Amino acid sequence: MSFRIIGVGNPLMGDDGVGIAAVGRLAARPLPEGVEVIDGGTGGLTLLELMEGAAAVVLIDAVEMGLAPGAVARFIAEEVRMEGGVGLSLHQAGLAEVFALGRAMGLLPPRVVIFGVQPATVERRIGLSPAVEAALAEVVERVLAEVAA
Amino acid sequence: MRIEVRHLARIEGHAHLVVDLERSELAGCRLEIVESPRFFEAMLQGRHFSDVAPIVARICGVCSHSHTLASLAATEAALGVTVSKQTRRLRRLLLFGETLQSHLLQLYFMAVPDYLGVGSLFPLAHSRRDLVARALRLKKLGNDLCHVVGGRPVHPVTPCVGGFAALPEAAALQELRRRLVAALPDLEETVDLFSSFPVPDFARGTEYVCLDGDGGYPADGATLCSSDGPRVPVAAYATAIREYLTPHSTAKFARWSRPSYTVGPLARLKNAFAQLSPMARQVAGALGLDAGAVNPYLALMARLVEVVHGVEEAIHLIDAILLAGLRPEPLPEAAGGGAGAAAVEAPRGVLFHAYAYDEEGRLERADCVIPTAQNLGNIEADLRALVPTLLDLPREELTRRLEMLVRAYDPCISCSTHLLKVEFV
Repeated sequence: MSFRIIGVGNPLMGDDGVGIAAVGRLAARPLPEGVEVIDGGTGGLTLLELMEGAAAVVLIDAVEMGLAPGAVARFIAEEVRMEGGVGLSLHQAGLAEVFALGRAMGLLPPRVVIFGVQPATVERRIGLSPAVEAALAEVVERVLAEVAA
Repeated sequence: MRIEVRHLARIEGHAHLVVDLERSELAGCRLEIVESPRFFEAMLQGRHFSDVAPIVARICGVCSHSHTLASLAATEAALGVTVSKQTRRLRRLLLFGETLQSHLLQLYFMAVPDYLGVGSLFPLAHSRRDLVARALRLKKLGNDLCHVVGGRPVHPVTPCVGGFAALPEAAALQELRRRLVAALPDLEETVDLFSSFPVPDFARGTEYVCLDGDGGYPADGATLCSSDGPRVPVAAYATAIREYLTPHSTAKFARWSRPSYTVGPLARLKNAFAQLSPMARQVAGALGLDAGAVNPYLALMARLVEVVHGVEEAIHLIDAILLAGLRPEPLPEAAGGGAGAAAVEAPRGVLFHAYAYDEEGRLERADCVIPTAQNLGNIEADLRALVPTLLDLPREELTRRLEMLVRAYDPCISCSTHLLKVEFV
């Protein structure tokens, strides 16, 4: 049974890089056998391939949820209405597009859990805001608990 | 009467088109997609040369390998580092891998909907499942090629200053070779599909610019060449390519011998037609393309020809790499300062990076010129010539033709973030 933890986002865009920072920390932790940690970057549709074939996937991403900066929420795709990126270009597709296509083609793993972190700022800058940096520890522990469950 | 197309679909970034029908001309064209690299130039200041390529790799999720390889070559030029034949072959293989990834995405996901009369590929996931499955299969091949050589499907981690920090396994390259050969039937079906598409008629020759492939098809190289004749060492690109501003746009335009030029698949194919693989040349014929092509809509078909060439050359490159014996090589010493420039052929055209480092190897100045910025002036010139010829068409069809022309260039924002927005329901 393969379990994949995939961080997505752009570390050059401030808090958009929280998923990448989180998988960086998770990769340094002891993980159960069969658990893989992947830096998905801004690969868009490539994410579909990174997920394909896994028994379960945890995605970590910056998500605009209207919450306080640094707030962490766990949800599955069916629980939310997604609006992703600019249109349906699928060039550097957003999560919403990836899920739509994956669902239509029957390529999504049976279990995909998303850990969303509310960004404070998404702008051209390397490094996270203090609120989001502080949320990293919580993200890492909650993802580890998810994997262990 | 005016036609306004705001937020043109199926391209990256934002493009707005305005056509003034009373005066039968294009009243405005704004592609808000090309200014962002400037911000990254500032982001790189003060960084050690070993940190520059990993940062650059994050600029773009579509062209991360091209940015990485242009960046490494620029740093190597600045520091006087030369790389081995094995490194050059592996990097060239990586460039073809990215061309496959990017071109297949544009061909199937951006262009096919235009010709099959749907708004996006999503409806086809139900009505033409075979087609979407083939698109995903082919794209995966490009991704896996990049993964095996670059260590990741996007944002590569193995290429480094002086060579490669880790080499692919020989067995993984052999498996890739097998899959590249096995992809030929999928490519044949792709060619059949695209050869059935009616490409809009339009002729406007321009200046076509690419790297000189030095006997091979353009991918990497030290000389920039123009179809108008001039040639210039890549190191001196800034003396040839002039960026300039116009009153009607906030973006920078680029010129060489004429007010505008074009880079990308059509420019490469025209300037290096004789260097295409035999199979690619045959496919070019089937798609109505040769070295004399002057219809910018045909850039789409040139992209498919390059996919075929890329698959064939990737097979040969893997053979050459394995035959020579894949072996770990010590990385050359790199230290000190200096200035240098380099270019690679990214999927959309020639991409320049230029750096200056101080004595401690910290970056003082950076310049990055992306293909879409170079194509912008030419896209506008095409639109200005095209609009008056289409005024008899119904408004909807006219709009579609203009959008298709812009999409034929596959313009791409060079940095982007797609922040997911959710509403809990």
